[in-house]
Amino acid sequence: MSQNEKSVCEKRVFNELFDLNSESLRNYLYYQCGDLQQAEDLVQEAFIKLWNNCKKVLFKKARGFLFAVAKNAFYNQVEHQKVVLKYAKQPQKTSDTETPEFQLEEKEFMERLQKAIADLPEGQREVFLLNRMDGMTYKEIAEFLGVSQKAVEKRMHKALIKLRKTVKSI
Amino acid sequence: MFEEKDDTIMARWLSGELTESERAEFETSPEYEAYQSLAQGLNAFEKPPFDKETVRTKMWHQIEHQTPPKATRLRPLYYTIGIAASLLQLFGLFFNQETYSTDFGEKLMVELPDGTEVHLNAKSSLKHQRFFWENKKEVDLTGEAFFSVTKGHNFVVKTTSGTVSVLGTEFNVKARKAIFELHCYEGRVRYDNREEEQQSYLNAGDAVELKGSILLEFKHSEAIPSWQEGRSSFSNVELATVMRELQVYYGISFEYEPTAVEAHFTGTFVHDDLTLALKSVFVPMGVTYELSRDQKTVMLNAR
Repeated sequence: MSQNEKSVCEKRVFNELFDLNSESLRNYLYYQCGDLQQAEDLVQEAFIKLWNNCKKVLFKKARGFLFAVAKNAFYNQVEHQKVVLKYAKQPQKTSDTETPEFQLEEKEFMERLQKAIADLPEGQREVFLLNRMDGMTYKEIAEFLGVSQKAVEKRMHKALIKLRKTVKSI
Repeated sequence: MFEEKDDTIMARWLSGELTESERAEFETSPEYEAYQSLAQGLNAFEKPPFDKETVRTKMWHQIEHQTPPKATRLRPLYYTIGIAASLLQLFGLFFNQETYSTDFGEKLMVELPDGTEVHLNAKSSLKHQRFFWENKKEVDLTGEAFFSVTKGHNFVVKTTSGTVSVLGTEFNVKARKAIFELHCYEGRVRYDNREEEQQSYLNAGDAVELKGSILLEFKHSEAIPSWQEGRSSFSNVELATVMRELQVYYGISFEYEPTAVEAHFTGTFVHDDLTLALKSVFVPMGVTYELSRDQKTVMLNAR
């Protein structure tokens, strides 16, 4: 059976779509609003919309449909918070002979980086995090946001320079 | 600098798409080490936790408990909407204005529904619609305020001396009696004044001032408005104007002969110490003055 013939209205197929898309959708929404709970609620809403339109949406168009619904949700949502990512306590497991000073510096560095990411302009932040956290390629991000790949690369470029500069200057 | 070679080069570095020679050049550049630690640090961040199964369960639960829309529900629904709408309208008439104002010497930070931050300076007021503001982002300003606008469309500040329109940026508007000044700190803003047929685009570092019907364009080099640091700075400004500013921060009044203030002032005064502020304005101008016992009136002596 080719993917085109799969019916989104079948529970099994729908669950498969959920497996494939729910996490990246949730993360995208989270990068936008900075609120995990709100992001999860919106994920549910998007999937419910997909279910209610399952006869009209082809399997391979389902992802596009979900992200379009999610994007639209932001025209209605008001609350935006800063995105603060958590990091592992030991960022660079290079050796265990690190001095306490070094560890302290490292912690400070991670805190600065965390703040710098939270302070990125929205457009740069979403591109940056989709690439870094969700492993989406620039091309995938471009298709998904509906902009050119070049535009994505420009935002990414700016985000990196901005991070370097803020981390240094805080 | 390597990072400024073209406008996507750092993106291509991160995705491993640099050419052999580009990479060699990058490795000898002064920023190389900083970017290396940046990349290492980024790897330590974790994806935000996601409990897929809980969300899935909730989703199916909601799908199964959806009430199918019934045709008969339509009429009562319209009816309710009608009532709600007219109530809202009525309500709107009375409560649809949100006003923030500051008195002499006060400062206030306001966050608008879209996340835009407005820092309101002393003796200023800001008004905006309470409901449906997001559809038409407009505020009315008298006095002075610093705006840090969240990215969005058509944010408009209206003053009696024209309007300022922006896209995600930072700028300071001063629109007091007979004074209009606009400083742009980030991004780009547009200034329009229909009556005087003035229009100007400002980028970061640009400023304009309306003098009568003449629009002066100039550059500024501050990172944030000086009033946000608790002081006011002037460059070759009429003393009478400086005195009006003193009134704004300290709520004082002046008694003087017109000849006593015929001079131009260059300098700074602080906002939290009246004695010091008066000293820093009038001593360099060679004007002697007396402060009344209740600290409300300043008498200037003719020179």
